[in-house]
Amino acid sequence: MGKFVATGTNVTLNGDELTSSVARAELVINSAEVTVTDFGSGGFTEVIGGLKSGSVSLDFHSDFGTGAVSTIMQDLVGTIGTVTLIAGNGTVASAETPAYTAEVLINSFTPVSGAVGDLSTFSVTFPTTGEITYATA
Amino acid sequence: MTSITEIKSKLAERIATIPSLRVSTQIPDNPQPPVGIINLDNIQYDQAMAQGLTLANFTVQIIVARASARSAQNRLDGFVANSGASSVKSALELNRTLDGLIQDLRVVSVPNIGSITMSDQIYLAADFEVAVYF
Repeated sequence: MGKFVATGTNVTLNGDELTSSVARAELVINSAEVTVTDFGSGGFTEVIGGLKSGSVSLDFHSDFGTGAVSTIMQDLVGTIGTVTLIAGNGTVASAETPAYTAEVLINSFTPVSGAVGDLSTFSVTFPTTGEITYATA
Repeated sequence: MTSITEIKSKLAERIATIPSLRVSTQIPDNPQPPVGIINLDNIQYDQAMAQGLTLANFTVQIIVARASARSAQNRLDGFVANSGASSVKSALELNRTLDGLIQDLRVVSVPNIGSITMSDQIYLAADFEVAVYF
């Protein structure tokens, strides 16, 4: 697989497939910078990797239909959810379409959003909690 | 998967609810005004992942005879109104999912109102921009 245009990042939340309501998906994995600068650092700062953290950002199209994203999100604020993202426009995990799974704190939901005449959308950014796993099969 | 042909057909059904207005999903050689003609302008794919949402922009052109300029303009005034029995916006937006065929639609604007020439005849016409999400 080469470079690709994102047209089908597969997104599930607590097992519910939300892909067709997602306009943008992003998973960020960070490492804290721990400074270890000392008198032997030659006048430069030195850092090593510390604790890892992550966040999941998703842009959704609002939809209050039965089993649709706005309905699903309604009761989830304040809970821990499981998000799985399959990259590379895949629908199943493979070496070229890896699946990332993370527990996230669902700390916000915007049920009403949109200017007059615009498609109603909402965006969320959830911090991850615990390990972010990576699967290729 | 919803087809453009189905959408055009349903848009035509809605336009046909306007009294005394013919509808065509093809550009007629000799229009018999008043007539509404439904044209697909462009499609914007991939509004959501996995083809979850597509935006199709249509133009509904309403053509009226210009035998009498005043009466022609009066007819167009009714077609471009926000509401009323002749309102194109109202006719379309009273059924925004086209009976469940699409996600939503909106009559966005009327960017052009003026004279057009077809088959050597001068008509008065108004173009309605219609955004269809499916």
